[in-house]
Amino acid sequence: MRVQVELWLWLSDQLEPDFQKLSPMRSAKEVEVEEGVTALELFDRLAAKYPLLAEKLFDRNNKKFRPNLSAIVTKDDIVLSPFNLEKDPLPPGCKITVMPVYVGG
Amino acid sequence: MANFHVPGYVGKILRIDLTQKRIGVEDLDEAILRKWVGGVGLAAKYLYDEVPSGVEWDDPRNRLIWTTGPLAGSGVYGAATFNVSAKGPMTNLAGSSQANGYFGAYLKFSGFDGLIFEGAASDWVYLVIKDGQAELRDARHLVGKDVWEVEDQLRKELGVREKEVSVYAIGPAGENKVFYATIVGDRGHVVAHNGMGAVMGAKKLKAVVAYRGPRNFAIHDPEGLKVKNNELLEFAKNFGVIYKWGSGGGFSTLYAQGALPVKNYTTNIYPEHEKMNGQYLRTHFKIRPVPCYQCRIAHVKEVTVTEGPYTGFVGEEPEYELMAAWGPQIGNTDLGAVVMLTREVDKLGMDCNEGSWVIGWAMECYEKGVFTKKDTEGLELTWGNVEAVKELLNRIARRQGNFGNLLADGVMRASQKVGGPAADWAIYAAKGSAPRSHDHRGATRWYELFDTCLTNTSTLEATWGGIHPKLVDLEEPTDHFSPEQVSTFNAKYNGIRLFDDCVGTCRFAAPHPKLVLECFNAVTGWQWSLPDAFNLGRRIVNLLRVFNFRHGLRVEDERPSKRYGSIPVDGPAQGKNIMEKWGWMVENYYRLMGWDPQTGKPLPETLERLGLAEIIKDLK
Repeated sequence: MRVQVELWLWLSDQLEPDFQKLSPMRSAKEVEVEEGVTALELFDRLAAKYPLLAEKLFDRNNKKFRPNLSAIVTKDDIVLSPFNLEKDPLPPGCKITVMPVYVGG
Repeated sequence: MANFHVPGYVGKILRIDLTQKRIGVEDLDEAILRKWVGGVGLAAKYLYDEVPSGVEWDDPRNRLIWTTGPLAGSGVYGAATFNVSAKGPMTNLAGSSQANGYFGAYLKFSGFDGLIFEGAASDWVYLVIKDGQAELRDARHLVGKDVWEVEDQLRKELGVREKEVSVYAIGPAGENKVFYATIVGDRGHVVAHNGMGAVMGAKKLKAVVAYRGPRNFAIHDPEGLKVKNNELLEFAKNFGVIYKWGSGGGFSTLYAQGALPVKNYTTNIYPEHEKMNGQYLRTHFKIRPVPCYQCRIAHVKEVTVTEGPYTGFVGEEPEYELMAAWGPQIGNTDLGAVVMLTREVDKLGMDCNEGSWVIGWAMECYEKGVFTKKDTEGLELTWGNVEAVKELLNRIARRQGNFGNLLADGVMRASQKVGGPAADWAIYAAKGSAPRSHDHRGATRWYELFDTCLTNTSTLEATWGGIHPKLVDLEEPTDHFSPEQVSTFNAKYNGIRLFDDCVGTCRFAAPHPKLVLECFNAVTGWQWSLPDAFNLGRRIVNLLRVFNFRHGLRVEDERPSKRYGSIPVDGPAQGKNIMEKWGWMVENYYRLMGWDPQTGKPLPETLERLGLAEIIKDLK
């Protein structure tokens, strides 16, 4: 099945051409995965393939996103909730967006 | 030199009777300090004891209370926060709000842990505090000046350099008792919520000046404090994106979550967010740090606009809430204009949250023909017309014209006066509190919507925001749209934010509650635990809830307005409906807080457990 990954992390130039540059902030990639894969498993694989993502995005040792990042999963542009990034299988056609956390002010 | 036996405190409160022009000094009792600590807690105690029911917000018998806490001026980085409390005009219930800069530290250095203003002056005055002495001076020559002009003028008159004094003042909005008038100081720090500036204006108090001085209070364990202070700094530098990108660094994240307020909640589509966020600002505009007292995070910046129609404009870097208020909420897509409006609203002395809810509502009314150009007295209130917004802010601040005057009482009152369908378009909590500048219908923001409607302090007291649950040994909820999880979480989390608001630290410079607690223990020597910190916060919430019941709180007002609680029509939170189970959420929260699930009143056993047995009789 296909899922979409979007990174809102200003890595667009560095990730071209494998990731499509949507804007200086946003880059995207459609990924083919098997049913049952979780978000963290998907990003572990991406981090294995792209060292930049291992450096900036995903800690392969601890199998989690690097600090100060947040991720949401949407289907048809609507947030899926509840959704556990570690345990819940990704639905077909969903999008996982990774971006900085919001702290407030 | 430290004279008071309790470390962290100077041990004095200054009481200023503005009617009699009499100033007195009162000693602080250690037992009171151990029970209420400082900041919002100490102020709540005085507010409860001294403002009986029947006293309205603009009555001279209302108190305007400025308090700081034991960490302010202690050397903890950025710790110079202070709190202002009073009965506030937006809710006509307890109000409290905090600000940073230098004042919290300088107040202590000039000899006092707090100020209590009572009465009202017969003509405009300002207060100067230095070396344990205080004086009321004629402020008539400052009337009409904006807060920046007041700061400049007072420093010139006093013959001091910039950092020799901390100055907080009201602008035209406070003078004219705009319901959401603020108190602004130290070049752009704002006491924002529930119209504390209007209370100050009702007392004809234009400004307060506190001089810098040497530290005059003891610290229990200075070496231990240094260690914990540095741990806190390292944590703060790596926590969130504030250090690198400012609070606007999360702007696009909120957009992704459906939590950016766009055109008065009529849509959640705003593709321009990428050119309106903190990352864009800091990589395209010129910035210069202007840190608060001893702050190493230095997220406060002066900014020079480098593109667009406001190129060359110099102002403060907008915090996230100002970016949202003067960006998407009013349909504006120019970041330079956000900087311009940030400066305008701050210098006039008005809350950007309520200001943008009022103006966004007025723009929607204009779009839909409820207001004509005649009604708006010549202003074309089309979405994104920032020059019209600038002019309107000035008219509101001076209550100029029928339209400016209508909007000066806030969007709840304005929309109720206008009536018809327009009454349903306004964004507010029915208790009168102004929501902060997010779309609280979005993901991770239901907590804040719920808190805004149920707050007893008129600012946030229970919501998860800026303090991750794991930092206080709580599990993060798994479903941000679950009525059960949201209302339950808010009850569990209630209290810890108020601890912060008691001690005098800045939440951006000191974002780890356990490390703040360790600094607190190093300063005071009290050896408090995390449960002690939570209990302090809950004690304050319950004291102010009883105060609010005495002053007319109605539980049917603990709900959002129709638009505030509406279902998003597009965007990531499309279709999510918080009102479906609102009544259940409120009852669940009441029950978990130890309140009667029907009346919302704190149960006697709850008040006893929190050390408030003496006020049980006040609820009968």
